[in-house]
Amino acid sequence: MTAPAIAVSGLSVRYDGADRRALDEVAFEAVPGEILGILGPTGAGKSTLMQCLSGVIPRHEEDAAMRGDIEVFGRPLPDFAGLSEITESVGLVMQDPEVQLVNTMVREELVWGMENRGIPVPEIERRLRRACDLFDIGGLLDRFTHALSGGEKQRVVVASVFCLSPRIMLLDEPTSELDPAGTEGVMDAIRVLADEGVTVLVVEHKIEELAVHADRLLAMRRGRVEAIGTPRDVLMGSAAPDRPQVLDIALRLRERGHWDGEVPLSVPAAAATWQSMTNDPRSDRNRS
Amino acid sequence: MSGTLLYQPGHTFLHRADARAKIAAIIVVLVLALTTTRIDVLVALTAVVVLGLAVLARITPVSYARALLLIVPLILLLTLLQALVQGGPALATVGGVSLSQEGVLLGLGIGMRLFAMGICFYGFSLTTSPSDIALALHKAGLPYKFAYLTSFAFRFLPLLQDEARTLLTAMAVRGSAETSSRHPIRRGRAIVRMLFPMLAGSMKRSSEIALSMELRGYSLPGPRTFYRTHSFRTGDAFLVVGVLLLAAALLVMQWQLPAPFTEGA
Repeated sequence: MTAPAIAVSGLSVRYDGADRRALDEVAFEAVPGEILGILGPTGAGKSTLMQCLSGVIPRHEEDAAMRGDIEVFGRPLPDFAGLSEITESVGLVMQDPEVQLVNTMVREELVWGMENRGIPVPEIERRLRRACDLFDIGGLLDRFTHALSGGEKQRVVVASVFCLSPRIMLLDEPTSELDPAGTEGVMDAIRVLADEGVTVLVVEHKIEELAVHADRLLAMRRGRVEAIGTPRDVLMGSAAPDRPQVLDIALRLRERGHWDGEVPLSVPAAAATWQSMTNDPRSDRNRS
Repeated sequence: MSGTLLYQPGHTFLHRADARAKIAAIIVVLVLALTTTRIDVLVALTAVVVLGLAVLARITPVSYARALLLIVPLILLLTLLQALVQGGPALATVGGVSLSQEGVLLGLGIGMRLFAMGICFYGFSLTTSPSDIALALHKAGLPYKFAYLTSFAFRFLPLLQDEARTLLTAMAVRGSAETSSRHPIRRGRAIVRMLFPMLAGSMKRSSEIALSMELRGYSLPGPRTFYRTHSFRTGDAFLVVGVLLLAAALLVMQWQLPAPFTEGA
């Protein structure tokens, strides 16, 4: 069995003055090369979980009391010297891209973290080229960061964390300001990274995207893990906060006896299943 | 121009010049401008700065015409004030009030000084990226962590500008007439009302930005690499030598030539 990249057990967090825990006995594991999608309504504790996994809680947020264990590649998080050391293994992309752009030009933004780590210039150039290809930001390099659109800012922020080559990437709503094409581009890039062995934990409200791209889903509600498993298992279970519309439609059709194939998670999958069902000579649809 | 930032990327001589050479040139111009009030020396200095920016950075007076519209009334006001408060022979008498010739020359001199220094800084800001300024300060011996903050300040300004714009818009859509008023006092009242939430928002943002910087290794103790480096080249040396020669010529002009508009001149 593959050793987990990240292992969480008994994780609870309570903010000062809050009437309930933001996280309540959370436990799960993620293996190298896995994309774990995290779902849940607002206030479910998704962002708090990301902050715990990156060490931001308790090292930066002083108004949050945390208990429980987090291990990164078998090493307990408290054993790391500081946030900077944790970020050598764990890269965090926060929700608001505006506060993560700390340089005036995009090129400077992308190379700045690498410069801080003392990465040699040829390697910086190689990673920069790769980031431009993966996130389609080559045309933005000489632009001012504050003059980018919301979607462009998000792509630059994700790319700048990618440039640090973390073995675990935590993405907190990385596509919230992206259009469908931009979202697809970022999700494809995430898949490429996962195929190279990077573990990606991604918080998303775009459930259709997660259903297709994630290897497993973790559903949260009120600080607790409600379900964890394959996208199909989680989304067809009662713990899913929401479902892709196409899955909902297929389930309703199945109830009425019009869908006898596999329940699809995406529109292309639905189209393929529908085609195979209509080509099936035993199908009722061909007799009518 | 992009928001609060003046810097515009380009490929002119001044864009390529080392920021240290440009800072040295600015210091020379500042010292010159601040050590004389002689109108002829300041006019010559201003003319050379205007010409230098046009030739070396393709920055023509058209690009700072709007700033001129602001500075000319200021120069006229200064001149008028000096003409009224300085003694000496009168240049003219208007409605029984005599305007001192010495005061007029002094006021014009101060105005020219402001103008020369202003366009010098304008040229520097337009051709020097904030990160180049940080690199120059670092090369001059300032630890990178402190030098970087100068560059970061330029990034923070547009954030504050956005925050202010958002707050003013929020006030306007909730029916505050003051935000769109042309009356300076009413408009000022809206700005004062906006200051507290802006300050609170800035504090929150600065904490988040500090976290982002930390997450990208800002406080790592190890050696740092520099992706882009500037070396002090021959052209930079020419720039500094050229400005020093200009300073020498203007000092000679000041000492050897009699001041204009004075008796015996």
